[in-house]
Amino acid sequence: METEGIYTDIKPFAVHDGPGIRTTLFLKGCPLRCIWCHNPETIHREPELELTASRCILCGKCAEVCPRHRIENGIHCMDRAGCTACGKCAEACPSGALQICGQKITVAEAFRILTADRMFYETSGGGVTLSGGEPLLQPEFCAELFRKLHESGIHTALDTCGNVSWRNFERVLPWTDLVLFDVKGIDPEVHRKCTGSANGVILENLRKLDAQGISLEIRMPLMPGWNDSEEDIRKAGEFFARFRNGPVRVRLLACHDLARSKYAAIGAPDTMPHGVSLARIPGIAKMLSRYPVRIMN
Amino acid sequence: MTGFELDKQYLDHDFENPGNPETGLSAEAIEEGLLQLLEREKDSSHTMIKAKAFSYILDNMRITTSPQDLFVTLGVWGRKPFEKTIQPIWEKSLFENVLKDSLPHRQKLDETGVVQFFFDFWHTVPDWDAVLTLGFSGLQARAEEAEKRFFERVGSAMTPENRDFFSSVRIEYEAVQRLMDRICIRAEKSGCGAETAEALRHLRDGAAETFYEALLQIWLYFQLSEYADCIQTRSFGNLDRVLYPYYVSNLKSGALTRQDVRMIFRNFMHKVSSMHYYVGHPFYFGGTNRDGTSVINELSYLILDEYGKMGIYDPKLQIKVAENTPRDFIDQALSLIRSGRSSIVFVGEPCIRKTMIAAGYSEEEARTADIKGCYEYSVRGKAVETAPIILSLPLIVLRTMRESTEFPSFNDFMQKCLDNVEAFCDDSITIANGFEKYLDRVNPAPLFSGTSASSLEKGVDGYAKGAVYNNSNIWLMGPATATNSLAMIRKYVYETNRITLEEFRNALDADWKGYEELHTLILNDPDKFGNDREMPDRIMQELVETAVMRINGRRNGRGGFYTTALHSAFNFVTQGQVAPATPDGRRSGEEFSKNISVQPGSNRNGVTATIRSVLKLDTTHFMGDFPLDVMLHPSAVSGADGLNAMRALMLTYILHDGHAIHFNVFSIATLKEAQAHPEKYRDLQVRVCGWNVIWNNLSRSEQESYLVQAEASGRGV
Ligand code: SF4
Ligand code: SF4
Repeated sequence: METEGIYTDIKPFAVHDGPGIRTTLFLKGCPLRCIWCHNPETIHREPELELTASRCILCGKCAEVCPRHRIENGIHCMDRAGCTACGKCAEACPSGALQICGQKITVAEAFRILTADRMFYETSGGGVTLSGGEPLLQPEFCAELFRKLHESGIHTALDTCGNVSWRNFERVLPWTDLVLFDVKGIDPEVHRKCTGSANGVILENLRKLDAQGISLEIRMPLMPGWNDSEEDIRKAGEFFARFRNGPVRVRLLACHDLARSKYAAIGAPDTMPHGVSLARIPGIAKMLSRYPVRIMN
Repeated sequence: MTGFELDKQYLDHDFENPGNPETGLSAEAIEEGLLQLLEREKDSSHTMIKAKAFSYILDNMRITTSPQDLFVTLGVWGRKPFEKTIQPIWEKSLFENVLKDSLPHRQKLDETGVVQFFFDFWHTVPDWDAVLTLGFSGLQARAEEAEKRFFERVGSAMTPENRDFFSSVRIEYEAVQRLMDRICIRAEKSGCGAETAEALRHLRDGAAETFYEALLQIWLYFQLSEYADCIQTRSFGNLDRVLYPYYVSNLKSGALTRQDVRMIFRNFMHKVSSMHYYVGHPFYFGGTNRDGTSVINELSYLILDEYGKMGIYDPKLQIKVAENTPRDFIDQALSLIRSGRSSIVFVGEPCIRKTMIAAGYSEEEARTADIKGCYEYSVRGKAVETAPIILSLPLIVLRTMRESTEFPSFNDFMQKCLDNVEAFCDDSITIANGFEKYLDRVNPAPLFSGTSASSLEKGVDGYAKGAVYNNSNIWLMGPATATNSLAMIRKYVYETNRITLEEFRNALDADWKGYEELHTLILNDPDKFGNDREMPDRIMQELVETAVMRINGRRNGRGGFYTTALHSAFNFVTQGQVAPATPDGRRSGEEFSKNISVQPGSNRNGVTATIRSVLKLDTTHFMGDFPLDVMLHPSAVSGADGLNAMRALMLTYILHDGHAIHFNVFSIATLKEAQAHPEKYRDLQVRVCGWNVIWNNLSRSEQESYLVQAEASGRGV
């Protein structure tokens, strides 16, 4: 049987996910639980029903196919308990308000979609990025897809949180041109607070990638008050200073809270802190530039 | 340019001022005078009357020269007295007399709303090289010489038309000389700068010798042609090329500094901007020289930089991009666009070259074609092109729906629709051929013809087959709306059988009221043009190629051929406003799709998919033009990555033979904020079609439809 992946979205004309014009495929399932997660729909591996209330025209079609939906007093109500994400209601919904998030896709189909923009990759030096979620939770799919892309001359970038077994990296690295590696905190406690997990495996994987001379770009999501203290930045700088293949490229990512509505759409509790870190980025960049790193912002 | 300071305040209001009464008559008095002249001269040929009318206007127009201005303002601005008085009388009488047999046919076509006809005097570019190297007096001398040679060649075979033509050119250029005398006297009197007075004297007596004189010459010709002769000058040309020799020599001799050049240009651009002309006055940069090198030079960068600092949207600029256009120049333009200066468009030389060579033009003509208007192009110095017909494709689909409800299959429906496209092409060509024969009877063009070596050689007006190339363009309007409508008919009537054709018609008649569910379904349906989906993209191909097969190469009424353009001007808005709902989900009154762009709100797969869809068409079939509008969210093009992506997007389109592409980069939040607080955003501009408009000048409904498109791109598409 052909290898299948489970994905949430395909974003064409992605320009900040590696060099050039890219297409980013978001795979579903993630081992971390970052409080600021901008793609909460990619956390769980299983398909989920997404409801975008603003698109609902109250036609009642969903209620005709499933008792979990009701139109009451001109309002669409939904009881998620027991929903199997079978997709019947989404199929009946004319407005796109209901959608199943998490579709299966074969390597061949993904390859076909992801190569459609080849001419843009060629003029821009771009390619394909796998993101998520954590793509390396689906290592077979990633490896096969990257191999096909790589063999047809398309640049491949892997956006990873790093919290997977090194074996998973090994499956994919032969066909990976660039690893975009998220660093959410060097201090284990800070990391645990932000993501729910320790960072031992993550930092070890990052060291190995460096040791093997893999092309790397570190991405640091910064949430005010959570992982952006002077201490946090100093520790990061010191960690990067020990890289064998320095200076490593680092991109500072400002957190925003525009994804809040996504939590509601999948009926998940909203964990996003309030606040935007854009204004702090230049100051942090300056702090970090004391260390041997190449700031990409 | 010692001591000259730019007075923005003064220039901003320059054109509101009709000029000092001492220097001439009011516009009303000139209009009155023209009607009397028409009465007096009624037995003369139109050519002679036009020349005399032009002389009369020039002898009586007011002149403003001022120490605050390096240029000269002629008091016909905005009034176009000839176009207001004599031209409409001649137009009317043409239809009522010469063309009276075709009148019922024309009226029938008019009633359908599908076709719009135009006497088009708005799409020519003079031979700027001739205007600059010869000057007014040199052009006059060349015309007299040509007349002599013509007479020697044909002798008594010289027709009255030939004789009137040469006389009319002589009369108009003599009038220009008298006007130049008046301007020079006025310049002395009004105490305008010594340099200005001297430059004007030089231009009275001969050709431009300095950078400043060259730009002043262009400016004077432009005003006279556009506002006195009523032949629109549809581009100032590629100023970086024509002005470069003057620039180099003036810098070398020390006559000018770069700072002077900047100031002269600033003054020039302020004048253009202060006209507030809604379609804008363009000039363009770049392209390739005769010898194959890039036109882009030091002056190109300087002009663009100065434009960038000014915060104006007219003149609008085109950048002719070839394989060898320097990347840093492109980036300079993209940076401006990214910061909201959307009055800059990229036009692809590779597409133009291939299209023109396929149509039989020489390699050099194809390489050096002038960009004009919004994004059109034509052979430099040799063409009189017109756009006499606009066809509304969405209305043809609607008519087909009304003809019968008994189409057994979608193919039958489609075939009928294509038959209708062909019939409308044929019928409108018949009508346009009838009236285009007489363009020179409605508005002869002696001033313009005097710049055309070919007209002088042939001894006839540029608009009477005088040019080497006399093509006419048919604009197909709303191709994406029409395509999406056909795709939805196919899907919902013939594939899913959700609705009958008759019910569909009822839904449109009700403007979707009572059909909300179907409406929502259709609005959300991704099978629309621009999403790189096979079905709608194939329909688009069939639709426009059917028109192309019927149009391209057909003979027009002026000794040239028809070409096809996917160009909508502003008609996609104005025609949309009066059109009923269409099967693609568009409500009555909403705009149609513009150019070859997607219907607002129908883009599901992003800008790259749109470009892929668009490039499935053979762009070389559209010699008129083939412009694509792309909306980008600022976050998508921020930083160095963003600039790189934007450049790649543009180059991919152009190197794959796309014709013109323009970007609107905006943030929805800004636009909404501007809706709420218009007073704070008086200068915010968006590009609507080939030109820019101030956001707050759009009606609320236009703003809303713009936001629909904006929001679609904000979702990352
Ligand atoms: S996805 Fe299936 S189970 Fe869940 S609400 Fe919809 S129809 Fe019911
Ligand atoms: S089917 Fe969709 S649009 Fe209709 S009521 Fe349900 S959620 Fe709303």
